[in-house]
Amino acid sequence: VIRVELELWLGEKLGDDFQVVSPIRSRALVEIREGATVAQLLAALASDHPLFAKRVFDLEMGSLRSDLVLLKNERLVARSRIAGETLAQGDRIRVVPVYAGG
Amino acid sequence: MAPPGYAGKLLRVDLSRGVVSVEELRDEDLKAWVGGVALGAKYLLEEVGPGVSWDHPENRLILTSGPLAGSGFGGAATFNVVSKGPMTNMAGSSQANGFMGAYMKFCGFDGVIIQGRSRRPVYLEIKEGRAFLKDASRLWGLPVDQTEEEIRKELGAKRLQVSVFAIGPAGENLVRYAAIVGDGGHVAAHNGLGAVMGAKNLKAIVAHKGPRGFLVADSEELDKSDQECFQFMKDFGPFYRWGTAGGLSAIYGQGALPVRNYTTNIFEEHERMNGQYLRSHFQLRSRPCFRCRMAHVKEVTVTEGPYAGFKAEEPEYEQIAAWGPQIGNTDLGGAVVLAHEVDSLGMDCNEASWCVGWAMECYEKGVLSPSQTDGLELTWGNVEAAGELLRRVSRREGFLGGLLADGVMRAADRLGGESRQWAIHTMRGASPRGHDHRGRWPELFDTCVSNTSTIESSFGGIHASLVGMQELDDPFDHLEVARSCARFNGIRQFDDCVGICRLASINPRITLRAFNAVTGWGFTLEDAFRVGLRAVNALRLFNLRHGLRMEELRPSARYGSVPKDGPAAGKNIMARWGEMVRLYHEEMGWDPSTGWPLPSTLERLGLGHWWESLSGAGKK
Repeated sequence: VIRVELELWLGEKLGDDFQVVSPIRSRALVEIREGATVAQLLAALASDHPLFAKRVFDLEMGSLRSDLVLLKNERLVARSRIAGETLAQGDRIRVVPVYAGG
Repeated sequence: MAPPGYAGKLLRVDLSRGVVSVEELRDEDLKAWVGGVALGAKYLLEEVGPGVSWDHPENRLILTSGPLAGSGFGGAATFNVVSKGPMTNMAGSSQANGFMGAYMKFCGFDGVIIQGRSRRPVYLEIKEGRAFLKDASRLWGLPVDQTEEEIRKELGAKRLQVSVFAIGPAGENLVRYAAIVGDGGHVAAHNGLGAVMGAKNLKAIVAHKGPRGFLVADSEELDKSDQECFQFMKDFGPFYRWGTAGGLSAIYGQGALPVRNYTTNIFEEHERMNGQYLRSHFQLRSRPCFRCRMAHVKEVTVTEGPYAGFKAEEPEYEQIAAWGPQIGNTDLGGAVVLAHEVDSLGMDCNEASWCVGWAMECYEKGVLSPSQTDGLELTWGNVEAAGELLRRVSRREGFLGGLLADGVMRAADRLGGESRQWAIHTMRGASPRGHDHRGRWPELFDTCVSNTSTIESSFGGIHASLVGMQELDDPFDHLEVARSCARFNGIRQFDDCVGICRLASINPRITLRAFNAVTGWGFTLEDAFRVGLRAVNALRLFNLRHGLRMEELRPSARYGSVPKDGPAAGKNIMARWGEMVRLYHEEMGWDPSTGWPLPSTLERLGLGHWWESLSGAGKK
């Protein structure tokens, strides 16, 4: 089992596992089996938390919601690589919505 | 009778002769060009020939509304301005919200074309099918907010009875990035359209509310689409609750927030500068645009810090980005003050902040000496110095005021040396919007290759799924970015034809539903794309006729540089820039190497007759 940090910059708390750290950020330390992928981590959370499934990870499509991007250790991960991106102990995953400003 | 959604008339104002006249709009032209940017592009292409400079009396300033404006659809009162602008010496297209787009139509006009140059300062008053040129000598020199107030007093009109858009000292003094500002802080900002007004001695444009006088094909369907739109927008991102600045931290999280003139992407204070902080700490009062239920426009009173008690319009995201991180300021109240200042002076906040940030970097690195700043201490985050510099720029006062009044590209060329490497602009001189686009490649690429002087295809390569397209898989993939910019191009230009605010209606399918409810025309999404592409190609034709060179379709050294930190660190868009441009041209139906529209592309868009008017090496 490994431990990774997941931070959502979505302005809302999407499950009991998440701790609110600011008006826009919530954070959780999540344990998952060694060798698991980013998509498997998100799918597990989406299965446990309906709001997470609605806002972050579409279980039916098996993909990140279209208005979000995902960074692993501060580097953006292409949508097509999320399914195959393997996690390691201490990885930091950040999910950020895409806005255009105004 | 005019078709539903339209007044069916155009107001033409000849300032040289002091004459106003009314022209009928043909139904087939309205159906082909719809309104807004496309209708403006048609007239610009037809009436402003090669050799006419931006400040020549024969340049046109074309204000156009659209079929949704004033229909009752939420927030639909946007108008579009098209002209040849001074930043790029090419076409410029910019929009402003507020009330003008609706009121202009209530007065009986879908658009206003202004030509010539008045001998003395005047303002244009539009009222119930008529228009008057009035003396503005006593208003000359006033900032925009005071101009609005004085005109309302003169006309005996309360705030919502007239829409007023004006220029400030910047426009009068032909600052190249002067804007047209009105209705309490709405701005047609890009490509110096306010300087075009200044060159024409036109201080302001005023439209009375007037009686609503146009048909709506299907009011019930319009109401339903309005309701659908409001629900969609309420659930879309943070904007309903937190305003556009509610996205500031997310933009930072992607590495797209401009920090200290692109010298870093680290700005740990972002959560004290975002909309969430502003709206939970400062006092607010709602000041919505015409019939807007999103009502994101507010008046704000600063409640903490050195500017506590200061009251102004709440800055949008781009204003806070400009006067916060871009100049190294971490006091949100200070950003509110500078946002108000730049609006009052009548300048584009984007270019103004690229100028101030560049000057601060030059000062830090010793390239600008204290004597050249006339004593201003241009240290990062110095709000007072930034404010004073903006005022000097608006008057072209002193060495630095004069230097920066022509924009950062020309300032860096004049100052020379290493400072050229630090200026943020496209090589045509256009101002990027208020982001660090090195973390947002689609918008960087779009800004450089567009014909409007600002983004044309999209706003960041996002929301493609709303029109059934794939979202970007990898926003740092060169060819995917170029291809997606081409394939998405058209639909956002259609938005800019119909008279709506993008923030109040971000979903093209709902916009189209409302458009069809008003006009009864039954446009498909493909039809909407075609209208947008007609505008894009008309503006490309205009720019080619006015000397566009392909080597200008690129970013400046700093704008296209590689970020050294943050989420986009190490990403180098320039590594495959040439390939990107060629692919983009190919996908647009243009010659890959010259960027000229192919005859078949023009034919498909009903612009085939323009091919014969083109000449030069690009025509094969």
